[in-house]
Amino acid sequence: MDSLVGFVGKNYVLMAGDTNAGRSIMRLKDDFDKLVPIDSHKILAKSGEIGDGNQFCNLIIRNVSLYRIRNETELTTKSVAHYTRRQLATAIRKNPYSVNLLLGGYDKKDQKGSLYYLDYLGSSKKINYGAQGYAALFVGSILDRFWNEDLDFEDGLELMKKCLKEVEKRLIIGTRCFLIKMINSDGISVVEKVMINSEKKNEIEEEN
Amino acid sequence: MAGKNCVAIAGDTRFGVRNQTVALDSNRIFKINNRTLFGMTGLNTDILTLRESFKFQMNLYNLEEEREISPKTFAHNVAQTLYSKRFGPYFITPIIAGLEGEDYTPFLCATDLIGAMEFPKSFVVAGTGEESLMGVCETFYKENMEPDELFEVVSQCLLAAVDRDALSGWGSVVHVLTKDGITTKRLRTRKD
Repeated sequence: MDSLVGFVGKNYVLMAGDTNAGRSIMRLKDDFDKLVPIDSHKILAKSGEIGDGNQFCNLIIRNVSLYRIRNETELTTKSVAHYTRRQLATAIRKNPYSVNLLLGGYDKKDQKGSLYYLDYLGSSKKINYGAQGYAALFVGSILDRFWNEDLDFEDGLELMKKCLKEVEKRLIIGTRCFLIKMINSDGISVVEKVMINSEKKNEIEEEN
Repeated sequence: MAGKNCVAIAGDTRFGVRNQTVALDSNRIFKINNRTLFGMTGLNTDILTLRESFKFQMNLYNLEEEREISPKTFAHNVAQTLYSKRFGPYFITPIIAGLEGEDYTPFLCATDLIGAMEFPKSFVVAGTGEESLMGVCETFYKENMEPDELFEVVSQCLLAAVDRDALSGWGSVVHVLTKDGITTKRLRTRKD
């Protein structure tokens, strides 16, 4: 039910998640932020069980902070991805966390963004673009066609909206509102909270 | 597959979740040392966990023994690690290929998910397309192939087999190990 989309652009990472929180057939909340900041330059986008997502993200955030306090240095996105994967992999056979994640981060040292696909089983893969949830079925082909590694921010945002529009239009489970965040050298910023209504007109209405 | 004082491992590079492809550049064949290559198929999380586990064990082995591990010993290590989880196994099928001893004798080993080893002399196969691979390797294998010919045979076998298997493909990588080192080549397969 959760949709998460992310891709790496020229000097940034763009991530989007739907803002629905639900249980079974009921929508509990429609302004739920699934893109959790781990530190100033990394976002963990969570999908799956809400409780597990909260607990697991807390675990990662606190441990990343602890590392920073102890060692006076920030972890790279790759390190956080490996640490997160290890936590999921050891948990799966004991007390599994039902969360599927997209980890996006910008490393000042390499001056590059990176995106990792993490699974509840503990699979991990560095990807250039990808999605979690049902969105992946729709958005995968759009990103295959239109993504390239030199996407600047405006083109990237347009591509992201194209993806989200497709999710809204074709995913039977209604999800019209998406939150888009960007990570670049300045840190995490909320780009837009996008409200898509493809029934009225074929345009995207923007809302603050 | 084994040749004359050389071995080759080839694998596809698709990472997927059931019928959905997530990534096209996942590497499942790892170099243990200059004499040993280790490939795994199966559950991605277990592949990564075991990769890290064996890397750790091999680093420790190198420090303690002050030498490189031989392929045969490594194969036994893999089997023992897998059997230690006999009643909660790692869902992988490993393949070990290496050059054993002073003569660089080819060594091949395949195990199942709980560490039952076999040491064939010709070729080993694993994965979702293993039946296809078995058939085509049986047809094209011949003894004492030189590295170039071995590379050709292994590549064609892999390409043929992944074309038949829905869950394999989307790119492949072939490593040929000889006493002079490892040559790695990427092949284009059908993307479907």
